[in-house]
Amino acid sequence: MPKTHSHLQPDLTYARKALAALVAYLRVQPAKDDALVIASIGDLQIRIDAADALAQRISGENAPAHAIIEARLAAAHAARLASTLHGELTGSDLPRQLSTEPETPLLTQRRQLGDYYLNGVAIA
Amino acid sequence: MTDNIVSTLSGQPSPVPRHRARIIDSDAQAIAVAQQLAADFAREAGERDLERRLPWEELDRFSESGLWAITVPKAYGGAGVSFVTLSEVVAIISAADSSLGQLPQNHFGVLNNLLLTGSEEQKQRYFSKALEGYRFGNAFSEAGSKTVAAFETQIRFDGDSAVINGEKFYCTGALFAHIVPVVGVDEQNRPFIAFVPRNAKGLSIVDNWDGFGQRTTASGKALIEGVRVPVSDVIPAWKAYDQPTADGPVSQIIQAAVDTGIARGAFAEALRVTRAARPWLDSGVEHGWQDPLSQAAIGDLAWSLQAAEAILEKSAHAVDRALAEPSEDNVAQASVIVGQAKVLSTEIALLASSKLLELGGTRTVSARYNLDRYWRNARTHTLHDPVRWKYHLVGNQVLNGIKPQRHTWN
Repeated sequence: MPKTHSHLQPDLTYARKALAALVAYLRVQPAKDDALVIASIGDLQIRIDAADALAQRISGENAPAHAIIEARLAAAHAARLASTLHGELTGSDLPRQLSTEPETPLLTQRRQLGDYYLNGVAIA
Repeated sequence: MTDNIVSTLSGQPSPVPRHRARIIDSDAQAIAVAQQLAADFAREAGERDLERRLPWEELDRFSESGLWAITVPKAYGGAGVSFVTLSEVVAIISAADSSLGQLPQNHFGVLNNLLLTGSEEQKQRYFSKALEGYRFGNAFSEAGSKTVAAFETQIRFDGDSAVINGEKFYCTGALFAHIVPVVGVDEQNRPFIAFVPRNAKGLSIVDNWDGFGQRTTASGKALIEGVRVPVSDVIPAWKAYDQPTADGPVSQIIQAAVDTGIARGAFAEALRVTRAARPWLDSGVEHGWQDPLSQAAIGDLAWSLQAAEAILEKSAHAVDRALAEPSEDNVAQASVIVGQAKVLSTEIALLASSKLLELGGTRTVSARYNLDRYWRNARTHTLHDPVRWKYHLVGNQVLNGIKPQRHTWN
């Protein structure tokens, strides 16, 4: 099991939890009818579904390393947006439990992914 | 917008196809044929755009390949391919030349509306024509009406015939079509589609499209002045929205497929120019392709493109479900997922087409390479309907449980 899996799922879970909390919070607020708020919720849903679709691609045994990074980066993006949006719309932070498993920094994973597409360099 | 821009026409408008089209009989064959054609179309895509050389020859090869009939149901002699296949075909062609990819957009939309609202006799007749290689254009949108859905073009039924009067714009495909489907509303403001032969008396297609992108789509004006067709050539298009049907998502997924194709093309060019770029002074590397910041930028484009691809495929499955079983829920679900595909494909098409110039450096803006066409095409085509309302469409379902309104733009 690649190392990144232990980080991808917690990020996706966090993003989904933040979205559910936001929806529960907003449903009883006048903001639920605000076009900008509605669109921002759509934005978050799209990031979650995109990460989920990429995560499904690597559900098999021999998922290629680049596909694992793609899903990982999409999940990180969804979690970041979820955290920001939760703070912005509710005025409170939603605590995030970070995995204690060691992971290659996301910055490095972005570069490795680029190196793979650009130069065909295998991802370690 | 001026009307006096006349392009050099290498082809001639005709109400009948030049040759009979081949018949494609499977999804796999459709993909293979699209890949062969795309390799052919890619060769001169830049020149066609630069010179605004209308793709008459290419379009004949495209429709004669049989690809314009792949959605004709098996019961009518077609391949009845899935929308997973259709969206892939459109993306493959659009990656090579997005004007060519967009040209059949309304043709496929009309074929779906025919399936939903045509009589049995009309389906037999027009699906046969599609299989023979007829291209259906479109004269739907109007530039002057209050909203995109407000039609001022009138259709009036007069015994055995129907008479249409009005003015249309954004008529992608009409110039090159053999038959021009024209939308007109009756006294009760219900839209009908009339199948008008390209050479019909009273129909003029004006090649006045001067958009800076999608330049060779010739998406200009159509004048409809007292055009008379038999009532048997008219379908009650409005019925596709009276009840839940997949007509809206069908129309929209083709848009998202074009934009995904533009993103693929731009990403491939971004890789090429980044490999060839000079190393930046401060980078300390020997070659541009070793630049860690360029590599990270490519990494970001890569995962965003893959996300758009994955959601496009997911949305195609949702469209197939809505076509097979057009319940209110299935149609709404298809609209929402296609809306997501529209968002992601718009974002990556614009980002990749801009980044490719940044990563390639100043040398890539030389007009002779015409590498700005990806951005011009992405910017132009993604304006079909405002993407900001797609975030809203998705959010409204999640937050308020409100299903998307049913119309051609959802």
